[in-house]
Amino acid sequence: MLLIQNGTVYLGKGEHKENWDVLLNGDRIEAIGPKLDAPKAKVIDASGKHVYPGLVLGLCSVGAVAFSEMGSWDNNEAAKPVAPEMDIRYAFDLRELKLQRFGRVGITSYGLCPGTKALVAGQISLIHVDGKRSSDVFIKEKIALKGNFTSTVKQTFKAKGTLETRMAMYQILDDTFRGAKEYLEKETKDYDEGKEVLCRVLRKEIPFIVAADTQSEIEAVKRIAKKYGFVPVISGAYEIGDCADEIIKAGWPVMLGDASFMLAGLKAKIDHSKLVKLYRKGLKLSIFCSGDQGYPPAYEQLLWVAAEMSAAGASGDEIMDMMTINPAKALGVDDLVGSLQVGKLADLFIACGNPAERFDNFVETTIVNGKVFYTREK
Amino acid sequence: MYLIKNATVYTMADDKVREHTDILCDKGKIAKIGKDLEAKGAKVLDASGLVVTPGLIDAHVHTGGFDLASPDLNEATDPNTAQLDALAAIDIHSNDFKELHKRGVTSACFIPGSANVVCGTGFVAKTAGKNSIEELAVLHPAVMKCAMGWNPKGYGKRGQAPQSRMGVADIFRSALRTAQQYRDKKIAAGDDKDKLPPYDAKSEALIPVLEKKLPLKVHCEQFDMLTVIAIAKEFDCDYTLEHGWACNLYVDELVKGGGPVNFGPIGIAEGYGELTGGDVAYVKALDDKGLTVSLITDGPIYAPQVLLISAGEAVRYGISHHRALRMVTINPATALRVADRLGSIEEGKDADLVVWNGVPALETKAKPLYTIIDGEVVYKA
Repeated sequence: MLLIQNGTVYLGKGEHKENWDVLLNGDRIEAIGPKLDAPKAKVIDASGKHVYPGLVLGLCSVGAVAFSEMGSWDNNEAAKPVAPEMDIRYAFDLRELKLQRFGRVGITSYGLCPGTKALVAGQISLIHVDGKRSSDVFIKEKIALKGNFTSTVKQTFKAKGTLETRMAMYQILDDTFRGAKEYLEKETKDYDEGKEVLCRVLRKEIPFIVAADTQSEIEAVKRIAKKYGFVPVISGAYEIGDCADEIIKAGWPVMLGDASFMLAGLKAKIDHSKLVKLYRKGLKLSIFCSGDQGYPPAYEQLLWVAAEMSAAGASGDEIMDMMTINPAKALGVDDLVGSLQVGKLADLFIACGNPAERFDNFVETTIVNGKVFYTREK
Repeated sequence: MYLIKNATVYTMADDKVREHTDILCDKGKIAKIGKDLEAKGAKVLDASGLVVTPGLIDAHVHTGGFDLASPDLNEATDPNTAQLDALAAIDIHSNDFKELHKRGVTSACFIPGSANVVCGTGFVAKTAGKNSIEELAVLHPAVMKCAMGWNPKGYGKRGQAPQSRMGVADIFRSALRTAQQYRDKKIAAGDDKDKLPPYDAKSEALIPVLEKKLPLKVHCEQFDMLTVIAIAKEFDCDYTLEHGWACNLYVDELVKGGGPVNFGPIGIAEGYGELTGGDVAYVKALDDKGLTVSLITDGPIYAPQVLLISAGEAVRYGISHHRALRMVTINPATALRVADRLGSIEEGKDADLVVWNGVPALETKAKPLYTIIDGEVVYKA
């Protein structure tokens, strides 16, 4: 048992509790409150410090890339545009995960996802940033289906002669869900692994997280989602500011991408201050998903986007929610991670303040799955 | 004439923070820094509660010449293109160029890409306020861009040289040796035109490197940095190390070599081989030992706001705030040899300033409210 004592504990939505304790038992949060009694617990003194839920990175391919093999990364199976049966689990390399610096950022879990090349790219797993074995790292498998409705897909398949326009992307996606719907409604059928996955999306058991950057790409995904009645999560979403009304009304989550990488005209159009206004109107926004974008794929940029949101006028509390509970909800795993709540996984970090507000609000200690994973060197 | 009143000023000429300080800009230069300054006819900018720093300088960008559909800064037809000039490739009307000054970047070093071993010359220019790249240029040429490792090895895919790091070093050394011999022949010929060697544009471009008028500016990381130091020593050239990833493994060698390190982009994930070791915390050891360290975005690979964010991240991971700010102001000015004009707020220097709504690289809310280049407001939030 681990007792985080006497900190200012963040409960989400702007609620801070001073001089509260958090008691961890094994991999779970056992209790939260003032003056908890746990005589046998090992104590971490958090006096004068803040305790936040571990940051949840919406989408990230780090751990499933195989950086050393430039040009044949393992997170992209793009031989055909539609491959829902792909499972990111089989691309995972524990050694790659172990090389990273998640702890000092305060990130404790993320949606390990297939890459950006295929139209329907495969299934996402929720993983911890630490674990002894691969099996320890996976929190929950097959939590969502990943898709891409972007120019990257066009570029990928143009070379193969499969598709080269947004019209074709739309048609193929439409056809994919039509086929899945037929499959769903048939009583007797031959087992089809890909269609089984798509049926989970149609039954709203898991979300379909789709990268869409421009307004027209976002609109296309919206049309398909409405036609087949599934829950889309728009990721990337650089131009969401221009087409958010319907998404706010429907309550669909949005995962903002990383505007710092490869400014190629498009991403310059991101208007963070517009996003802050939309957030206050109810847009379910989480910040930062890198997918396999990056130089190579990266994650520290989470706090860069946080800084951008801060410069655009978002409060530290708002940004903290965008990095914790909101991505957990978007991934459909808010029963496990995303807030300091009894029964949830023991993922948290202790810092001298909100790292989204000041660069010198250092992360002091990061706890993953109930164990101290990172301690800042003085 | 602009008079900035009552600001919190980080001059970067020293470690002090000056409260309630005025700055007078006249004829494009900083005329005076002090308290309660007055100047008849000057436009007054009330900066009470605001922060002023020198304009940020990015020591390594391809901005304006790297439209990914047709990048104009990579002429990958010959591993030695020393004769090429980046000035011809920069489009000041491109979206990425127009963004620079809005993010507080007032000068940058614009350089060719890294497709070749010897890529061509780069130059230092302001980022706004004039109508052509020629007018914006501050120092042209300023550097000879070169590249090691993976990128020039791309020729190997076509069955050409270089295919290996051995090949890269060989082409690099051959280019410099050819230029040396060419220069010697020119000197021996003196005024006798008949004895002059046939004109060699590549060697002509490399002579200023041999004369230390231009530093080699070499894309390199990991152990490639040691190769660069050895070659620079062999040919008695100045150099800067670009990217510098995994510099933590070679601190003593880099400090002994003495060439400035332009580190970044930061924040890359860890893997194996190239494209790893981009932890901004690594530069602390170099900076502590007196090496000139700057942070770079490699724009447009990373967006212009990442320059300031990189300084903030340096603070987050253990470097003092003032040292981090130096890495995006006076240090790049020094590395680029333009510190007589740029990089700090001192009387007589160019009036390139940013007025912020908070302390940059410390408070995340800080963004430019005004960007001033050559004493003129070029951006207002």
